[in-house]
Amino acid sequence: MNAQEVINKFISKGFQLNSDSLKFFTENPEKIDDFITELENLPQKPTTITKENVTKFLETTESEIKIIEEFPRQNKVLTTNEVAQIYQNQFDRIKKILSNRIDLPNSISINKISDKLKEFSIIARVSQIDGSKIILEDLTNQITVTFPNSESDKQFLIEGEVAGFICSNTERGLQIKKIIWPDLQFKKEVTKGTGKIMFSNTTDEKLQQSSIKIFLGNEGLFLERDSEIKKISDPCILEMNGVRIFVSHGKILEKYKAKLGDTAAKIILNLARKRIIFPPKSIAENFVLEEIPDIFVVDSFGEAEAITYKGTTFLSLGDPNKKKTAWIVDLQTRENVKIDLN
Amino acid sequence: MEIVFQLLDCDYVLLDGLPLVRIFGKTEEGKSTCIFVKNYFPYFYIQVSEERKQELKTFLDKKFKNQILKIEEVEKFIPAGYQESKTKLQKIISKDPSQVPMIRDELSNQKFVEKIFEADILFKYRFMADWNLFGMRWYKVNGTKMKTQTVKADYPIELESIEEVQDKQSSFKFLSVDIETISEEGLPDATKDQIAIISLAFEPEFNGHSAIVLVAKPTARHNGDIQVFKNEKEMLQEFGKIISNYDPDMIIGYNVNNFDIPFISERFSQNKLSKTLGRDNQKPLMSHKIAGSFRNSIIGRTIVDVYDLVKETQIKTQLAEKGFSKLKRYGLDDVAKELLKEGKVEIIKSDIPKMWNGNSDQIKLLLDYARKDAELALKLLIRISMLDKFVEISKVSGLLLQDSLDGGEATRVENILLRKFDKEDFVLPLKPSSNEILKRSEDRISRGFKGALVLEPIAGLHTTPIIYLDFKSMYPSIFIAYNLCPSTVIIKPTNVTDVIETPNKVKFVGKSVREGVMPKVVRELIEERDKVRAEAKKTKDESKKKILEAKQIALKYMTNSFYGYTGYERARLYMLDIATSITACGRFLIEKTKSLVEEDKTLKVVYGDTDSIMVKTSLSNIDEAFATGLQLEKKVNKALEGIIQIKIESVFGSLLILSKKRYAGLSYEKSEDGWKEKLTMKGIETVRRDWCDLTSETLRIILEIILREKNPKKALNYMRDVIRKLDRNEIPVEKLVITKSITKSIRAYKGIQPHVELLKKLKKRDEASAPGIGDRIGFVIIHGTQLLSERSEDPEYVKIHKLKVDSKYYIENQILPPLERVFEAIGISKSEILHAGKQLLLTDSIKNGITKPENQVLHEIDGFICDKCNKTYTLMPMIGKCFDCGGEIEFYKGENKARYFSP
Repeated sequence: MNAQEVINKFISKGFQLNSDSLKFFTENPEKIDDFITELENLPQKPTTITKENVTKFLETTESEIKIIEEFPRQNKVLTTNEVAQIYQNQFDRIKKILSNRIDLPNSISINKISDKLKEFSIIARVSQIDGSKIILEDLTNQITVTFPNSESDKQFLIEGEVAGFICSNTERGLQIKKIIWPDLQFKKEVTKGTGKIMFSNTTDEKLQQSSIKIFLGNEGLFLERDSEIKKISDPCILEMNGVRIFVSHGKILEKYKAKLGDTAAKIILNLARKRIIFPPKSIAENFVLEEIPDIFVVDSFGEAEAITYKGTTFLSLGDPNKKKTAWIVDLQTRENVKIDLN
Repeated sequence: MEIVFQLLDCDYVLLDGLPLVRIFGKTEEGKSTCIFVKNYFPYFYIQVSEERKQELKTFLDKKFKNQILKIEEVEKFIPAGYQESKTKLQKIISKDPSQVPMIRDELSNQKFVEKIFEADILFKYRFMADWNLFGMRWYKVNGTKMKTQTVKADYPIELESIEEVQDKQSSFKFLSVDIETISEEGLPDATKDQIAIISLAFEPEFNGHSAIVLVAKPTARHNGDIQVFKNEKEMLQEFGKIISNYDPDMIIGYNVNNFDIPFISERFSQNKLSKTLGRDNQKPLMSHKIAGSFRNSIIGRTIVDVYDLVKETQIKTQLAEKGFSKLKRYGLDDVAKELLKEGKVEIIKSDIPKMWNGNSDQIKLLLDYARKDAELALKLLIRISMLDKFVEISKVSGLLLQDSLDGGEATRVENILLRKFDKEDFVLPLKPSSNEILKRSEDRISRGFKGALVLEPIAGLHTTPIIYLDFKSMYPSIFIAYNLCPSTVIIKPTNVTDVIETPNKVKFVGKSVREGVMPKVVRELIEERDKVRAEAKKTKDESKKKILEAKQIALKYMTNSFYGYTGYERARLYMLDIATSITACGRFLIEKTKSLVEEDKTLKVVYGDTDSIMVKTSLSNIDEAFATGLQLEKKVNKALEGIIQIKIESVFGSLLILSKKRYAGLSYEKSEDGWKEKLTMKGIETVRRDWCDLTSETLRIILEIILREKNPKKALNYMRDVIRKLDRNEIPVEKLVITKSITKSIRAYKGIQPHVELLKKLKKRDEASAPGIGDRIGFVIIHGTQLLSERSEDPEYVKIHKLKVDSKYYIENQILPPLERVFEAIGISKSEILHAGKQLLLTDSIKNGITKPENQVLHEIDGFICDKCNKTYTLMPMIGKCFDCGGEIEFYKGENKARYFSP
């Protein structure tokens, strides 16, 4: 359809186009009919269609939110072999991520460690932390190491996580010199989409600003869209117009307060850096993050907070019993606006 | 004098302080040549500002007066980024190539130097580029015959003129070398252990011998081709004489690069013998260890390691194309048996010291063994024609054959780029320093490098025809279509209007402004390849066809190397933006193709990986699917015209997709005689060294049943049948053998491993016949209550004593793991598969008198516990067994234990 035809179509319905909107509809003629229908339903119809009208239209019609990954509860009976395989699978997936780290050179398996090696690196799972002793395990064997250095790093380790360890063989035995976590990839360009989405820990009626809302509560997570409400799994990974969002109530994160941070946002950030979300001891599949979502949203405790780390956003809503909060995320600009409802 | 020769090697020497280039070659008649070229000097470029030019001249005058011949001002395009005009550079011409690094390093510390270019190009390649000479091509040279003592050549000529001529028939001499050493303990040490035997095989024959065995021991002669010597030193001297007299072009062997040559080099040094084994009387054999491997060179000769060639050919699946199955092991015996249908002389490797000190029959057998090794390596090389591809790579890239064999892709690409960039008046940057490499790596990590697109597959068994579409030379086509090159990437603001933007927002100038050097090279390589393929199709001459085939493989290989090169951190012309642009374009093209295909609602893309997509139809036969495929080809090619072309490769009659990069299917390719059926497998492990033959056999049969008969139930029953037979001891022991190598002495092994435990047993039973270091040992896991590793047993012993194998081990560790993934993909759950396994557990526990209730399920657990030693674990050991005693692990809560948990 050429520009003249587009103009004629709108004029026949009583609308004029400015140059921006004309350009848009010349390039996207398939959207004309829907747009005109939308216009005709408005209580107050504009005479001249501007870019603003088009943007609003796109926000409401193009916002598509889909569930990418759900984590249903494990109901089936598991054998010890299956559990071992689940852990092996987690280990292999994180090992693959770590193998690309250049600051973790030439890792070997634990069964290849010998007295001849003064320094070496391994990729291992933290099986047990017992005071200053840490038991590391891979698919060949396990070893006991100590960690004489930074207390904060050791403090940061949790049982079940998989990391790279640069170790040295000293007279006092095997010691960890440095820990290499899988960490997040730096996103050079922050992923942007269209539309807005709201996350809240309350169902306050004042929150009408967005047609797409996610409610995080003790009863679960709910996705509301155009007044339709649907329960989604906790946790859940959604995608909205190209932006991937991880959502969880996050109650289960509280037990990591001492180790990984004092707010839910900090804790989920630190778990994301380990590429394992939720307590690794949970026997469940798919808690490994190979691809990092663009936004993480959690609720449950602490203060509401927004952290950006390497192009990824971490939002926490805070304790709903103490503060009713909502975050509105504009996917086009990736700005986060906090709404305090107290 | 005029001769025509094939260019084999090139180097230089200093004559009166000035470089004298030497080109080594071979004529069609088999005569060796050495062409001397005078008056060619090394040079490089410096960028200095106009105001500081004089400082450069003063500095060079002061520090390197005797080294610098001339400084010229030239105009060149500097690398990286589109520039509208050239830059003034100072061309520094010096005398001695070996001094250039020092001059460069001194200059790099000077403040007036802005940038240095091309000061690290190997002099021989600089020369060859400037003279347009390529390794392994044929040239006609006119010159004067020289008298010289420094080289061994039939025609030493001082060059007057040289021009390239058409390819002729090569007449190489091959010498295969294999050594045997005697070391009592561990791996041989060249500083201490001597060479006992050097076996040599010749093609063509040498003085009527196809093989000669040199023996460093005055033992009686057994045969005309055996020569005995008092000691190692005399043997080595004879070895040197043979090389000089036979004058081979190629010295070959199996693992010769990392064992025989370095060992020989060290033994020559230990015996204080001259190592001038090349065609030069002054330069010795060089052997250096770099990053764990040896790099060896002999002037005027090429060292060819057949082991490396086998692995390279294996990896590039050319063995499969030649009709051979994939190799499980790369030992000479395995490879020779597979490819030549003959193996080594059978002896136990660890018996060699005994045989060496044994009677004459034992020594004869040892010498036969040694001779055969040299012969097999030579036969492999010649019969399987593995060298052809590298000869052609040399002809395309310009590299000498030795560097084509030893160098990586980056070396080959850079050699082409050196010539092409120079032709377009560009200079190349220096190789990156370690700091620069680190910065590049950090940049890659921080920016992230998104690779090729692998679409999320629709896993499962697909039983309606699936069209397999392939993009023709995707990455090379992208290079050309988007004009991607360091010379065209826009890094500074420009007024150019013909701009191409890639999906990841990197901009390049269009072809109307400048055709990039890399796209031009890629285009020329593709055009050349098309020509060669067309010629190969027409030609009836088998030997010519073989060479053309090798040529087109070399061209394909080179064409596909450019993408990797741009993202390789050690490359001179590393440009992450180009590498990421290529993958971004690739991803865009796949996505675009997918959406074009799925405009037809009856078609669905079930998988796509980098440069291919699989489209599921709802048709009922292959012919219809193929016709649909042709239509899709047309549609997509029209939409992507000018960028890339897609082609229908085959149609799958049935396809089982397990996950990304793992699938198996029955594919049908159209040929002149109709449809050619093939069982195609990708990423599904049918060849793994630590699996027994029963596993690979069962996996293959099950896949055939699923794909051909589309009968998952039958496949499951087959697997259950295998499990039943295992449990009843009805599987032949040979199919249950797992093999591993013994790489060190028993006490050097840490931890408990099955093959080591078996070795201890065998030594106790019969020390003399027990395998030793370097041997492979086969074992079977038998039934019992000890640790797993202690239940490894010799297969022959198992047969003789009618021992029962540990069926549970084989079921849970060998059969189930690969098959679970296959069955899961077709919707058969683990518990259905394990049904057979569960039955066994029950039978097992009854037999062993264990009365634990097997069906107890815990709904909460404190952790995990070993059922043998009661050690507790917070987390389930990933190996599924107790680390301390190898016992089985169970769930526990308080005093209760169970094998099942339901959260």
